[in-house]
Amino acid sequence: MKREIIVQNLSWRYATSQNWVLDNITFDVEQGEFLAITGATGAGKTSLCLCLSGMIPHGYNGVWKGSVTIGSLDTREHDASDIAQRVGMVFQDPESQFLTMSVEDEIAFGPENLAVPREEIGRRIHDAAETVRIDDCLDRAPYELSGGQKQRVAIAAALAMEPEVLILDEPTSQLDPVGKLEVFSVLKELRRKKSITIILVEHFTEEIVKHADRIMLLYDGRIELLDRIERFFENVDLIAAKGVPIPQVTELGHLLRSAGVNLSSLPLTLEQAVDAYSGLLGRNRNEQP
Amino acid sequence: MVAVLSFCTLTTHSLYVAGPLLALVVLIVVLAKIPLSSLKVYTMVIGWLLMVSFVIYTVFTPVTSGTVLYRYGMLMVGLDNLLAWLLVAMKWFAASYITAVLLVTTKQRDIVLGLRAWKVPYIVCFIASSILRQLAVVSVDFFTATEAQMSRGLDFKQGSLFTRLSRFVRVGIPLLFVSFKRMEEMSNAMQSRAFKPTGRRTTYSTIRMKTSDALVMGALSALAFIVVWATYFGTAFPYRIG
Repeated sequence: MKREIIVQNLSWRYATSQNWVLDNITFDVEQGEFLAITGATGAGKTSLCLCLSGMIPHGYNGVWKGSVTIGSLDTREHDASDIAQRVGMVFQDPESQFLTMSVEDEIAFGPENLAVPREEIGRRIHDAAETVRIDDCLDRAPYELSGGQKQRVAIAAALAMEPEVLILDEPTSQLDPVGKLEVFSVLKELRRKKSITIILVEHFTEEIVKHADRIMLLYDGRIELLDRIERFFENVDLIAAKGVPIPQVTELGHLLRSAGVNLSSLPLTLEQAVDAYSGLLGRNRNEQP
Repeated sequence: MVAVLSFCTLTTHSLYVAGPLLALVVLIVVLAKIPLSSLKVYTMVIGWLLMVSFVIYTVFTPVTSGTVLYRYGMLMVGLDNLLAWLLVAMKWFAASYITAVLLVTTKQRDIVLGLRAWKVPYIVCFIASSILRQLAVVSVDFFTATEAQMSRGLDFKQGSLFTRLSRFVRVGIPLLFVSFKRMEEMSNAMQSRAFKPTGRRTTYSTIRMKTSDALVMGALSALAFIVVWATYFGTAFPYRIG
């Protein structure tokens, strides 16, 4: 599989900070892969996203070491506007990322900047709005919508630029539970319909485990752990010590293991938990207690 | 329409012109079904300014000619000064209400498209539309900061005018920091959407001029011509009444 993102020995320090915000980060992401990034506040997650989208180092003052390559573009040699053709970005605050006063204009804004022909913009608006299920809101102002709808508009606006990589920086942190599930439902749909590479910064591990291929744990600007979902959560104590919530069913499995119960693998989802714990109780999955 | 009517109201020096212009603006406000709540902010701001200017025009401006309406020692209130204030009031109300008509009835997109049709550079149009967009965001942040301070016991309704105004400084400081953060976020959002101030770009939405647009523009051009002529060349519309 082609490597879409290559990060080598990346270190970054803002001009105003004493310490490295990102410290010798190395990883790569394959085309079509879904990588989740998690970590406590101040771990460097947002800075890493800004580096991947080219906004660092072009839009911020600081010290940069190492390299970030998106496709064939080295982010030091191309500014964020050039990289935007490859990388779509969705930010934390749905309100402050809108630049126009209607959903349709918001989705059209990116393709307009790329000088996409008018008819093609129309097709992309329709396609993106349908994918995120906001096609009935095109005439409305973005700030009139619910939190979940706003983030779906932001995702549609990024998708309309037809990027190869979609980066979402804590897109659900300001949403209610319904809004969070709306966003994850859209991501699920995206993976089904498009072969897009997704990088998601998120604390909501219960949902991450349903969608992501790998998870990265950032702590104090360094990669503490980067592994496939199943292997990642074998390190429950380390993850919990770094301030990241563990899915409840996984935590229960870990406690059972600690108490001497033999579990071949820790369940990550409710479905897996039902299977694993039914087995322990000697029942079939569909059997009533 | 807004540009021409604002130009006319701000150009004229005659009550005979300003009065009908204000009446025309009010008629447009009624026909456009502008909600009164939209005019409330404009009325309050202009009202405050006019209260201050009323004192300046009537009490602190020397009466050099015309009828003296009231005399108290050195202080005199002259009819001419009062009429001059009335003219200012009419001009300000007409200009602000017609601006409200523009903001309430016209989509931000259409304003930008209109400016683009007049060959205004894209970056100027984008800044204009961003200001309109950010006004809504800043007003929300302002109310959030005000409510946060009120929840901590700060009372904006009690005390002298100076005391109340000084309390708003406590709202201004967090508002300033939030605005800086918003600017950074907006800049990032623009970059992530490939925004460049210059260079080739396409426009998805378009507007076409209709016959009715041409008729209105013609009528407004005629109105502007009459106002300019009456202001600078005519004698039929005297500034002074009586």
